Amino acid sequence: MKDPYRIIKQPLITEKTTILREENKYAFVVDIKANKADIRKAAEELFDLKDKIVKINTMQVRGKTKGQFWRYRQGRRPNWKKVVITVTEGTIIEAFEAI
Amino acid sequence: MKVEVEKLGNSQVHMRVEIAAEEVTQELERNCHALRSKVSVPGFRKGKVPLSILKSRFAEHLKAEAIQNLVPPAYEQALISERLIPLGNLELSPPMHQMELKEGQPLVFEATLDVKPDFVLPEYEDLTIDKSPPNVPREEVDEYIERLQEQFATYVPLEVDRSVEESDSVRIDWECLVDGTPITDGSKQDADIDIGKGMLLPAVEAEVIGMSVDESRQIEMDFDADHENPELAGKHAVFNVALRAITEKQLPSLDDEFAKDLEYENYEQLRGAIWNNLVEEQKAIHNHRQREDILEQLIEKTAIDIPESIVDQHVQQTVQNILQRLRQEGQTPEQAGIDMEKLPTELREDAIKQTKQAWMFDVIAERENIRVTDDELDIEIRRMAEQQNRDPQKYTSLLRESNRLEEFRDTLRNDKVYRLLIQRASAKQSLIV
Repeated sequence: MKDPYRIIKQPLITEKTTILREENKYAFVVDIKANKADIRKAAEELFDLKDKIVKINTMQVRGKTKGQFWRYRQGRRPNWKKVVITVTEGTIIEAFEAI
Repeated sequence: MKVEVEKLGNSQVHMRVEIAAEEVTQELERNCHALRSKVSVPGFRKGKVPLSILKSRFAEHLKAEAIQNLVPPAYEQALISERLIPLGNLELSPPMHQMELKEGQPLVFEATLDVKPDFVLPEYEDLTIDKSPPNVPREEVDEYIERLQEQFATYVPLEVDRSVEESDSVRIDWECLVDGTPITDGSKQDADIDIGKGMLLPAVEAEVIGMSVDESRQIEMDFDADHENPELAGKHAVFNVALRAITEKQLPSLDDEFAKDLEYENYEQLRGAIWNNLVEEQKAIHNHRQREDILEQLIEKTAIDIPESIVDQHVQQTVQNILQRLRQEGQTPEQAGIDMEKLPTELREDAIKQTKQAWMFDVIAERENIRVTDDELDIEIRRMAEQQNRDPQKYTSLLRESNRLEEFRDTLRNDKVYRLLIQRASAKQSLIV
């Protein structure tokens, strides 16, 4: 898995992540198979974060089941992986701001 | 807000308006807050979207809205602060949908428009008009009464055995045929006619003279091609005339009896009423002439450059009115003898005059504090409605619906201004002719 764009898919912008930014934490949606090492590398490359990443927390989010009445027709949203990257004090990820 | 005004000619201005940066920022902020409660952005509950995200996501929308909210009031305020009265023909540059707005920077736009030109109101105190009081001499009343007498004359058949002479009165039956068929209103039985008073066509009258009682004659004649009645113009007509009697015309005597027939108490009262009517009539004519005099003098003394656009607008309006009236009467302009090509040119001068009058009266009314209150308007409408036999309330709402209430108010105001001007004007030595 080389291409960093295929690891970090998009910034995750929600109320919660907006609050997290005050703690220098940035959240992204990443490829579900990516591990922390991959993500670190990709983030460093994409956002120029060499030596600025303090911590990486990943978690898998279970997709919601959708559809209500028919058990056999019930579908799921895909599972996906969320990552919260903590950066050093004062570091800003430009790409995140521009949205 | 900063405004720079540059005059282009007498009735056109160019304005440069600058809306301060803080105002722009404030407006954006305000719009942002308003927007927050309306939009839903994925990842956020409604109303909880951070302003920064709103600002970047809805930048275009917010800017457009800010321009919509900022420019018109700024324009109006600029007009007020510069004491300009707009007349239209407004051109904004850049046009509103092309304006650029950047947060933290002033918004600048330019406008070119026609405005009411400055003009110096002439001294309206020293106008001179004919102020002579109405004068109805006895003779005029006499003449009027004579006409009344004629109207109420009775004709008594005479037992004479002679033919009709000039200055006789006769009773005849007549009918007029064109191509063998009677024309509209083309016959009458027992018509009382005074010979020599032009009550009959000359050709017919000539034949009637010399007829004797119970004689019938057939008179043929050709009408002129340009006769006013199209039914007759250029036609060959046959008149059948039968003389019933030679009569004597008896005028009613001028006494109380006559007055009573006309529903007056006595003869003196009748004369008085006639005199009053004639005086009123003269007053009305006089008043009209005074107004014309005043207006003419004022217009002569005032130089106003009226913008072409206004004159055109006014002319267009009048043309529309005329066309509409014609349509209501079911006529085409050609039928009414109106040359649509020439009409606008003919109306131009009037349009200029009327605009001048309106503007001058605006200024005079303001200076003299002349206003028409709602009550006055109401009373006047009631009076009008009564004259036209209409329900006052319906009449009012009719006026309101057709937007003519204010027009009516203006008319009343102008009446007041005229009254004031006439009152202030000095009397002209009227020429003795």
